[in-house]
Amino acid sequence: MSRRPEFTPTNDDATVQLCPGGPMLVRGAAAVQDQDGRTWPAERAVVAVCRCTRSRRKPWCDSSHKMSRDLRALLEDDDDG
Amino acid sequence: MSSRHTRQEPLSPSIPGRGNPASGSPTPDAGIPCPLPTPCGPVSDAVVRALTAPELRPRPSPRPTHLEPVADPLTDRDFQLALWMLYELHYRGFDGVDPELEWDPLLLAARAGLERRFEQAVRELAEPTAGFAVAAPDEQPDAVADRVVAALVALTRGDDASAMATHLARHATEDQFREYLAERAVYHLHESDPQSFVLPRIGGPAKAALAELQHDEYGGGRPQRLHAALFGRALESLRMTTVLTPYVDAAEATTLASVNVMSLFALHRRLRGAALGHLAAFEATSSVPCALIARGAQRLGLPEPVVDYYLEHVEADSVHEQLAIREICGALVREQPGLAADVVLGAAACLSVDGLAGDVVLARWGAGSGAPGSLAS
Repeated sequence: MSRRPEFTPTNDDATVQLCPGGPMLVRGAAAVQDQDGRTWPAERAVVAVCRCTRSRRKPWCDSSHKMSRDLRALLEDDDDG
Repeated sequence: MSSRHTRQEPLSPSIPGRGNPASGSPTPDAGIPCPLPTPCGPVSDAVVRALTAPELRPRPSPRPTHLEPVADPLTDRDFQLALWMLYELHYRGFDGVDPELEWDPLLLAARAGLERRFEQAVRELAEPTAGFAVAAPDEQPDAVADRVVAALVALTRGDDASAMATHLARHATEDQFREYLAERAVYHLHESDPQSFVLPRIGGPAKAALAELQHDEYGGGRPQRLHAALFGRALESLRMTTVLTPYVDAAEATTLASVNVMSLFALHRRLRGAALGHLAAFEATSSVPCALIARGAQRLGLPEPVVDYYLEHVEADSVHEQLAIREICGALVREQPGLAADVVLGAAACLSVDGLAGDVVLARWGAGSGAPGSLAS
């Protein structure tokens, strides 16, 4: 994956691991930031950061990368149609 | 996002007992023993009699003849309740039951008899799903580990969620949602405890990763974030008890089996590979269903702690899936390639036993899963 990640840890000593077809696991991050410098504090020791851009809980992975289109539609459908 | 409000409604009739936080009921997951459940047949009755026999008398215990009428251990409530009680001696124990009985030789012998039948039934159910080629003697450990990771990913890929999660998201009534929570309480009130028994049985990177996962399950140092406590608060918000016994008394055989299989794997060092494969499948099939269940809780206007419990697992289990498949199971097999087939068997056991437990509850509601995972209305 050569594309620049959408979110990166704010501290240099955080370690990053890319999961094939899945998120980026980050250990030891105080927070992650996007390219505009907006930050989100990391509230667990290991966090999974979205790489597929489809998460509804960005910057965190919500397993949207595994969901079918129908399933995503069901979760976004607030009228329960 | 639809509006949420807190409803104050009576317990659904299928759930006896109630926990009233204002009247001194225990903190969720305070770790105290619960009362003994009510026996429902000869095997569980024999266990209760053994656990409650007066001291200094010959202690009765379940005998092999009690097991003869058991046709299918997975769906026999009496069998599963007996095994659940024998396992619970190793977790919190029971109110009024002598803690020494955890290591009573006669009870351990009785448990072993039940476990032989149970393990055989679990293997028969799971092995067709597992379908993992045992490592050849000359296969490199890295290659075996890669095959195991690929097998776990393939087994848990399903981009459609379970029929249960889909039903809860779209159609379940509030009573059905409460019944679902009541079935799941048997596990969630002890959430993640079985897997802690595996920690001293493994080493190296797999141990470090399992400790990391368990630390997160146990709140990351914040007792109020213990996942079992979060579930307890969800129950309390619906004015449902946090005492385990009433849920065990009402649980289906297959619900008890889905919890017992974790104890079977976790309490036998021989089965540590299966315990961790089970964990991997459990975590990898949790995040998406939890998003759907949270959606269902919002649709029904259930209190915030219920929604929050499931939303916490959307994020947490997206982390845990990767940890469990790659860093726990992958690392374990790299160091001990001989455990590869057990890891995949454990994953298949999780999917098949939990699938069965969900189907039984759906069938009880007349919402059977003609096409598992189907989104059709």
